Amino acid sequence: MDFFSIKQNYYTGNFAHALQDIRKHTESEDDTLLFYKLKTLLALKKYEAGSFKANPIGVTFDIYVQFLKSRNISALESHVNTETASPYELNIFASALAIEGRYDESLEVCVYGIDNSESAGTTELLLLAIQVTLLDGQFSVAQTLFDNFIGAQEDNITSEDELIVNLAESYIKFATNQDTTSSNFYYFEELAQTFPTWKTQLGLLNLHLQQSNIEEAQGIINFLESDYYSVEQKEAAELYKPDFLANKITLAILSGSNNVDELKKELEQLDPNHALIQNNKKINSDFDEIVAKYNI
Amino acid sequence: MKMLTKFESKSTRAKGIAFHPSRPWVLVALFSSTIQLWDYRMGTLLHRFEGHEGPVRSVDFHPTQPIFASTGDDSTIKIWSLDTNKCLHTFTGHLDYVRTIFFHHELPWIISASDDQTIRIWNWQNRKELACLTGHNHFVMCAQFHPTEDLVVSASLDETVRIWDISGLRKKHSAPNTMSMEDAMSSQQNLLDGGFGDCVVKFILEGHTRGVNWASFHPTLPLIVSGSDDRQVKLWRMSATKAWEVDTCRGHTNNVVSVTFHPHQNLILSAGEDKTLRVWDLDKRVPVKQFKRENDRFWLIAAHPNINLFGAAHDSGIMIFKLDRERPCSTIHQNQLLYVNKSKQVQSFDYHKKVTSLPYVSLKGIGQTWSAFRNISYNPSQHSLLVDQADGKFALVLLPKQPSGAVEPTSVTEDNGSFAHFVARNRFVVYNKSAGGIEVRTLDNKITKTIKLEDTVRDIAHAGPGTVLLLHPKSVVLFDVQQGKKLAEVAAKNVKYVSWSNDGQYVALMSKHTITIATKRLESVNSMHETIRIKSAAWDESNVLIYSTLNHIRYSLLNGDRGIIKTLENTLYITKVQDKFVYTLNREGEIEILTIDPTEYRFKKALINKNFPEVLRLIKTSNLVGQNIIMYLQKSGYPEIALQFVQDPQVRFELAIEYGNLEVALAEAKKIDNNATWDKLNIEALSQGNIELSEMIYQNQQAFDKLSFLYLQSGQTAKLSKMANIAASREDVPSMLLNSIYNNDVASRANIFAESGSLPLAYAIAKANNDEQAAASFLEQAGLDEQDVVLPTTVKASSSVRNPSISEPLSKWPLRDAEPSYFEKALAGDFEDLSVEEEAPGSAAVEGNFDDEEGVVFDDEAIEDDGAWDMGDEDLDIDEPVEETGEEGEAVPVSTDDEVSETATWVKNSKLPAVLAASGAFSAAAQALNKQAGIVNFEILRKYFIETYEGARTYTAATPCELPAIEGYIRSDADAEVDTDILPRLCTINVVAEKMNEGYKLFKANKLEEAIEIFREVIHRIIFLAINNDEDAEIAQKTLEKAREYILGLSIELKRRSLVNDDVKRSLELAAYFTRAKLAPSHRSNALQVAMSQNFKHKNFVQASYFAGEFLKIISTGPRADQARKIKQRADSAAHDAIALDFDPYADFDICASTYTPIYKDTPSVTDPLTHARYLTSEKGNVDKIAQVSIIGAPASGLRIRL
Repeated sequence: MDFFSIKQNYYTGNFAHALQDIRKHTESEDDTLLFYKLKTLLALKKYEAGSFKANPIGVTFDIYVQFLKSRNISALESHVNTETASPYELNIFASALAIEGRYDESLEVCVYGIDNSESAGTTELLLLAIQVTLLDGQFSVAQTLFDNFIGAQEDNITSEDELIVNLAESYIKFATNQDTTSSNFYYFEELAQTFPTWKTQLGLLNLHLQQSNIEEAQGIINFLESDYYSVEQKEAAELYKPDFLANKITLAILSGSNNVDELKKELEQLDPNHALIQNNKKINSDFDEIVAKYNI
Repeated sequence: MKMLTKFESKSTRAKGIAFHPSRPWVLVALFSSTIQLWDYRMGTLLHRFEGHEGPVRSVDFHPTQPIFASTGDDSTIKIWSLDTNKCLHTFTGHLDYVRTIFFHHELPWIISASDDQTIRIWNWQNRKELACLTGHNHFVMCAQFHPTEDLVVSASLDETVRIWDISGLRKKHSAPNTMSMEDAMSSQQNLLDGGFGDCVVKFILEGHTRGVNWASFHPTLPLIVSGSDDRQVKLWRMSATKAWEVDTCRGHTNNVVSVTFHPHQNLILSAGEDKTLRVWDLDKRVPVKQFKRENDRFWLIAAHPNINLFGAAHDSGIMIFKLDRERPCSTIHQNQLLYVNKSKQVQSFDYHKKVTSLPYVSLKGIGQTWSAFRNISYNPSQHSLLVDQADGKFALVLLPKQPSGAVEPTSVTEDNGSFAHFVARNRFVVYNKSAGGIEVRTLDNKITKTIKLEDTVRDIAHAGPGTVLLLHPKSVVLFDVQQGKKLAEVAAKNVKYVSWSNDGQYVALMSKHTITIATKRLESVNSMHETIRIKSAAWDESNVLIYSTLNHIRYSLLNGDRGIIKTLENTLYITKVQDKFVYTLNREGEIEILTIDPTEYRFKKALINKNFPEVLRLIKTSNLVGQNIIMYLQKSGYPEIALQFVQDPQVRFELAIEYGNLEVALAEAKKIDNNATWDKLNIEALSQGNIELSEMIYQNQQAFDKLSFLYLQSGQTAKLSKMANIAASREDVPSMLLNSIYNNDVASRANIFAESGSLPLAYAIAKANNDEQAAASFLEQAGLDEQDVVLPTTVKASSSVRNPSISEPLSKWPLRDAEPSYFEKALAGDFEDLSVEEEAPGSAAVEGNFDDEEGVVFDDEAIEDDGAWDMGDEDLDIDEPVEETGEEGEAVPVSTDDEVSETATWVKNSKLPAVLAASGAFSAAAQALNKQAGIVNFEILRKYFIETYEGARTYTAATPCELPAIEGYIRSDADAEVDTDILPRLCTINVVAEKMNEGYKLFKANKLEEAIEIFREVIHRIIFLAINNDEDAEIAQKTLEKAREYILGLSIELKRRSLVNDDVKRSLELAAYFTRAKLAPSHRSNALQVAMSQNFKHKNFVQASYFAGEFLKIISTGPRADQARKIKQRADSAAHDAIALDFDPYADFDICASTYTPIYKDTPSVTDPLTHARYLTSEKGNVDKIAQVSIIGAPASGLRIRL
């Protein structure tokens, strides 16, 4: 089955189109199809608990969705048997571990899945593994993972997997400041032109921020605040609001605006777990120690 | 003009070439279907791209992306990746051979010209054909974009050249960045539509009488050049509305296949099937030069987009060449460099003042128009130059006294003779090639002496008065011109350039790839080889040779140690090195001053000279790091010094072991904690006789038997007994037995045997040691009688273990002397008097150097007026010692394993507080600020710490977006190519300047409290700057001072306003003090006006008159001035003060920023380390009132914001 357009739409953040494409294959019971269906429904906030109990992936995903609400991972831990689970189940489980900040275990699950599966789902695991290593600050590990995967799979990477591989590479480049003004920038620029969605625009926005291109970054923010994005793509706007706010904060600092605190408050209310807020709390508490140390 | 070939490749017929814009790469399109990628600097074939079917006719690199395009007879256009060396995409559409392919300079477009009579434009990003330009009615041989405008030029066998307007195409397909959303949407729609017919023919140029093979635009002028089968090169000009033929260059004897403009000079270059390349004068349209190959027809000539290089493709390969040399000639006299700039004008540069003069003269009229000079030699006595014209001629040019512009020289003597060089005040030498000798001539160009030489001379170089260096093909000779004899000789092949050390003791002889260093008597010191071409060299004050290659600045010590100092983007020619400044000339004939970090070579030099205090000083004051220096130290036999640079426990351990430092080795071993490490440490501990440490290691390793043996050796019998007990409790029989032997405990041993079931042995032991009772008991247990047992005759009582001969057990037995080294002592603070302050660099007398020696001889009658004492600031460039901020246990983000994080790189590159804060090393940043500026009140700075940190990061959504966002870093320069340039994005001086202006506005609006807050913010922001140039650093410093003065002045004024009415005296004093703040004159006028009116109002007429006078100095017209004049007039007539103030307008004093009282010249005072505001001594220890963050009078080294 050809998943090219489904994956393309999913990874560029065009979930509605992805779902439309998935629905064309109503009779298929393919794992990949189901995985993307579940992910897309979740992104679109249309996921209903218990709708896919017939498939183990559906069951695992159900528990994952509960985890996202409760942040209690124990049910998922006891449900997923790493040795027998399919790559997609491992993906769901590893995602939860990553959300919990248990990066080592998450990576272990991903690597286990990549090493032990020949079937579909390994590229998705690679993407996750790379993000997990980047979150964990292991940049060279991320690069090695990527290089090894490409080295091993070079001849087998299909065009639908290439989309995912490219995204993984762009994450590495983003986190390690590689090709910031060249190929990584063009990657996002091309994506944002060809598939103008919240996700691709935010990607491009980040690359502009990395280059301190204040005007261009402001242009994208205005673009995203226009009706086309904010009203007509309300679901996506809501989904990406925390990341959008985080980028707005960075831009506000870069451009010397005085609404940084206001934006931070808004982000903290919306997503107290966002990396920016978490980092902010950490450095503030570090700073408390300094204030106390030099206190006069 | 000279054609200097840099590279040649041999292959089958080459049809196309393309230069990489930044790397030394060239692509070659071969008729055999292959594309070659060469590194022309190293001369290596990097890759062969196969994919085209049939001949490849054209190739082009993308100006910025790692891709290139190719095309050929298979009618396809291929885009290749330079990263993967694979074809990324193949465009099909043309119906016949494709002749040329070119990228657009900014848009993602390519243009192709084909035999199918069309030109097509393609978008290589979205892989679409954008336009098909039809109109030519024969093969289109070439089509190129205009370098800046929306134009295309094409050449066709239909005998025309056409100019096309493609602005319509751009409109349809322009980039979305700067567009509104609607435009962006519609342009995306356009991409899908494919939009044909947006290109229109603007001009048709007719004039060639046969097919036209090539046409090119001029890079900047509205000119076009074309080459045709009619053997002519035609030049065309165009305006907005028309285009016309300007002239024709005739000379080629066969088809002209390619023609282009020189990118920088007014020249045309053409290639023909007549096997020649020809260079034409663009202005006069006359031939300048031609180069002929014997057997190969030329097919293409191309210019490098950025460097002065050309490439030509021909029947048996390609050649890459330069037209003429690019080295600007120069010569040094005392502190002046005389050089010839790109426009052949003579200029001078003063190394002291760092100032370039106006041109003295223009040498354009000398020699051939398009030929560069080879060398110049200066005569300070006559103030004249000898110019070696490189064509076997020289010119003696008199320079005007003062430089006034590029005037024609008043006196020029031109004559035949090579390598002209002054050898004395009134003599110069030239080499006469035909006669094979040198001639000594007077300033009137009369030959006074001819000296015959047997060997060929390639060049003559300076060697001090009366002598020259003759550069022969295989040797260099020091030649005394007066005596006409050879003084010394050294073997060195093809030496091209020479550089003498400042003291004249050493000379560096440079050939293309080798530098030979020799003494002044030409005794060879050492010789070194460089793979990259050597370009120039100069010696620093301490005889370190600093030299440049094509792409590096490197150093070499006299012992041959060398290393890289800096990577160069463009080739530079070093003229002088002084302290950390390297003075160079670039290929444009301009001065470039580089700042280098001399630490590494100074460090190595100090080590070689065993100048340990200097080594230590460098360790303490610099940021020496890196594997290289560690390896170097280890190799040179200084592991204890290497230890100072290392963090990695394993390396530290090895280094500590190497020089026997058990303390450090133990600390590191604890971190590493593996058996191999412990074993190694134990061996060293034992070899040093450190029994305690050895014991500890054995205990750790639970090596019981070894431990027992150690106790035995060191006579620790009590512990040995314990070991026996431990062995028993472990039920380890062999160990129990061993301990019983060590203890000489016969009874136990017998029992051990008995219990282990070996009664005969137990009996034998008891019997041999005369323990009859035990022996009997063993016999009984065995159920035997004494008579049944026959003991060997050799059995004796145990005597192998003797009692220790020492009464006390040993704890240490120093076997090897492990005296702390000089460095350990020094670092432990044993040398209290050791100064680690940086000496004023470059203080060694540079004057009186070798160049001066020449001057002395020359200037014996013309001693220049030395004038006043030169106390210019440039002589007092005392660098601030670099502080090590990361102390032990400090949370500086240095990587712990191989992972080099972005923030670790930042910190590695700079330890400025701002960089530390951006890296998250708040503690280190705070410590640095505390040390540098006495800052303690950090709460106020919280906002800036956080902003600095957060402003260097951005977060992108993960996939799926419920995962935590991924952090990316923002660098100060997203394009940083060298690791050492990688730094975080930080607040810039511009933001500070904006804030300052904001403060001024508030000041004007009389919002003084708010203004003070803004000025305070200015100071706070300056703390977090990291500035990479002196100019901005000075601006920052001055801005801080200005902000301080405004805060002080405004605080005084606010204080005055808050006073109750009856305190008139204080009120008037404060008004007076306010005028002392160093505000901008227009702002100070406000202060003066207040003081003037208040004093006048309270009948303090003398003071009022003074302030009015000061006011009028600033504002002399308008109603405010009129009022001031009136006040002054009236006050002067009254001329007395009602209230005596503590304010003497004519005294020199500052205002205490806390008490707002005067601090006169001799009053004891303290200053604030950050703001440098002055305070009465009673304020010492309080928080500074200006910026409110630092402690008044705290010891501090000064705020550092310069990178």
